[in-house]
Amino acid sequence: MHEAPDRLFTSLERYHFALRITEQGTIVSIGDGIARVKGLPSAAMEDILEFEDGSRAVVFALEPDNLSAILLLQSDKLTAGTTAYLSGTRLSIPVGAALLGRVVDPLGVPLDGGDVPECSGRRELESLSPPIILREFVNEPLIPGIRSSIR
Amino acid sequence: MREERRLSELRNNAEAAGISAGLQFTARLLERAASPELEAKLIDLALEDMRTLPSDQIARLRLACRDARPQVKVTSAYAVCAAQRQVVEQELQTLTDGAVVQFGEDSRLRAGLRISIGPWVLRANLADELEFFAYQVNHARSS
Repeated sequence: MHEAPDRLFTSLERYHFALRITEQGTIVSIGDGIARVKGLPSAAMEDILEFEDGSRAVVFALEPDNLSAILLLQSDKLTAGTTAYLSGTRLSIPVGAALLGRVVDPLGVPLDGGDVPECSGRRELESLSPPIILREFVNEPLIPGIRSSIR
Repeated sequence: MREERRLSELRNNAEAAGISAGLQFTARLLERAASPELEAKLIDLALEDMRTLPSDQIARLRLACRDARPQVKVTSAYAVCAAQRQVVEQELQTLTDGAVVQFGEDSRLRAGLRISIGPWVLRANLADELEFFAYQVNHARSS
C-alpha cells in the first residue's frame, strides 16, 4: 500500500554518515550533440551523466578509455574540460495524471509551452510494461508519429 | 480503475509533500549547524573511513594514480587547520602512493570535505549527504 515510504524508511534505518566514494570524468570533446568523456570507468549503457554546469547526457557508446553520451540538456557553459559525474540513475520521466495531454522531452521538460507538470513519481523510460490485465481497454486508437533516419 | 488511480495519485502527492517538507527542514537545520567545528568532526570521520577502506577500493585508487599521475584535490567548506591538513595529506599520500595533494575551499559544501583523485571522488560533506538523501527519496519513489 505504502511501498515507497517503506523502502525509504528501510534505507534510512541502514544510513550512517560515511566516506562516500564515487566516480568523475572529464569532457574531451563535444560535437553534434554528443559529448566524449574520459574517465567514469564503471559507466554503463543508458546511464545518465550530470555535468558540473548542470547539463545532462545519456551514455550510448563505451570504449576502453572514453565513452560517448547524447546531450539531453546542454548549457552555454558546457565545454571540453567540464567535469562529468555518474548520476546513478537511468533515463526516467515524471509520471502521473498531470502528464495527460502534455508534450515533454526525455527528461520530462515541457515542450508544449506549458508549466512543468507536477507529478508525484518518476518511472524509467526503459522498463517492463504492466501486464495486460492491468491495462484499460483501448477505445480510441493513438496514431503515433513517424520516425525517419538518414544513413 | 480510474478511482483507484485517483486515490493512488492523491496518496503519492501526500507522500511527496511530506518527504519534501522533511528534506527542506533538514537542509535548513544543517545550514545553521554547519561550522568549522562540525567540519573538523566530519574530517575525523572521513580519516577514520580512509584508514579502513576495502583493499579492492585502495587498488582502484592506486591504479588511477599510476595510470595518469593525477593531482589529488581536497576541497573543504572552511579552511582546514594546519594540524588536520597535515594528517589528511599524509593519509592521502599513503592511499595514493605519494600523489601531490592540493587544498582549496568551496562554501557550497556547507561543512566537510570532497577529495578528487583522478576519476574518483571521496565525499564527506553536508551538501553531498543532502544530495544523497534526495536521490534515495527519488529512487524509492520511482522503483
